Amino acid sequence: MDVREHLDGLRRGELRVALCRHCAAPSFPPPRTCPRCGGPDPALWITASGRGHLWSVAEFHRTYLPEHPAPYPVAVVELDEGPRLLSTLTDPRTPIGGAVIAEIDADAEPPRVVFRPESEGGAP
Amino acid sequence: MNAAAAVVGVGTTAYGALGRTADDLAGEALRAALGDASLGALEVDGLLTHRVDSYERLAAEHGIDPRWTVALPPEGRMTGPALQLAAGALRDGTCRTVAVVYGNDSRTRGATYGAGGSGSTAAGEGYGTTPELAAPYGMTSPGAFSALMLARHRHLHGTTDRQLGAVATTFRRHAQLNPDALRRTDMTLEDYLVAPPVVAPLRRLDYCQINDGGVALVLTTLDRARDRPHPPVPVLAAAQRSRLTGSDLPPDDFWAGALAEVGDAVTRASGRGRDAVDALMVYDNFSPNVLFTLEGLGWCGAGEGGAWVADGRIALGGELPCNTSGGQLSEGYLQGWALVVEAVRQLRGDCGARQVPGARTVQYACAAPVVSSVLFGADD
Ligand SMILES: [Zn+2]
Repeated sequence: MDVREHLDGLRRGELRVALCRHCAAPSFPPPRTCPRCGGPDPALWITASGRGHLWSVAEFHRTYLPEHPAPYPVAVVELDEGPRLLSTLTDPRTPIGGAVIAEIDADAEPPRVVFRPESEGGAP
Repeated sequence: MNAAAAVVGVGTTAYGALGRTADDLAGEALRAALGDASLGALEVDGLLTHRVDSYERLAAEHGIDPRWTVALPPEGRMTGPALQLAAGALRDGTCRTVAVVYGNDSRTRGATYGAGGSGSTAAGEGYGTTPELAAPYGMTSPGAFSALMLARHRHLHGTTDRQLGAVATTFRRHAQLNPDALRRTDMTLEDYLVAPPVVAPLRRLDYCQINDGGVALVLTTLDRARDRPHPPVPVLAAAQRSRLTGSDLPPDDFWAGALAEVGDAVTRASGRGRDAVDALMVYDNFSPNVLFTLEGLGWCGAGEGGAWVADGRIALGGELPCNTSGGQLSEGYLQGWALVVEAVRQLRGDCGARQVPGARTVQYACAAPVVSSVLFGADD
């Protein structure tokens, strides 16, 4: 699936995800046909607020790849706008269901979005 | 329903670190299965291969020139569909005798299911359909996918480590009754609880072990099957339901909707209700899948899988013995095929100390982006 818009967005410091332009369902990563309504080329790119909640998290204790030394968490975050994405957490103790906020590391290669607990630093 | 196809031969190699090619192992299993069926290679007119490197070389080497040849991609989720295809080819008269042949040398090749490599699916060792969204975060392995599902299940339903530990410890006890099983040392719940995490919340003992091995089955039409040396094991029904859209992330329902659909399909088509199932062979690449499968098939309610397995229901002698061979967690990971062989052996009454007394109906089920189930019966 074509996620260049997402990756280019991160390089600009924006969290770009997509909804279906036909039925408004989350559409990320964007398929060529929406599985919900059947509409063609559904990607309607939006800039997400960065707010969401932690859907699930797993912590790698095995190093599979040298660029990702264990331990580290891998998270699934559901954004308030609906789309879900894989990411990681600033605090691996973030509870599932807890509110999180995106922080974009635009200078990483590839660029990344990392989530921190909402209660930490930002709004209470 | 009158089953059109039946298993008349099974063949297995040793499992483990064997230093042999997938095709070599598949070929050994094929010859063993033909021998078990007392059939010659020239009688095979349908060939279905799974994970072998070259169906062409395998056929050429073993003198098979079928009228129907199918080669399936390496994912374990294809095992149920393979049987569905083979049974269909026999039912519609395309073939009279089908060899289903599987070979795996991933242990010898050093597969880790997580350290990159080619291919877009779990068995190809990348992860998901859009690796650009997974790789930057170190999301590499199918085990991590299962860990994300378990963490979500624990959050929603309170599933505990001790409950999940019943899966691995129960299957280990089953393996101790199976001389062919690879992991047979004692494992208590305490051993399980102190096992190191791989991708938490999964522990080492929640993971199957990557192995080499070959498995083959020979199937023929039911009327011909009755002339073979072993009691035929009819394929009563097979069904599949995919969840391929959005499959890069765990499904909200732990595949319950698709599991219910295939479970209903095979019981309806066979005329045997779920209560008729004497044993379940469940695709246990990772132990949480056992909970998800039991829930989806309706043995317990959504979220109740942990409590359901915790007190012996899935053990030999329990309400629904599961993975009586030790399963992929303890017998060995042959991508479902060793579980299928166990179903056949149970229905033949060949399982010795781990025999389910009087087994007449055994179900295979796999929870994955292609959910599948196959119902096997004893011949009436
Ligand atoms: Zn749509």
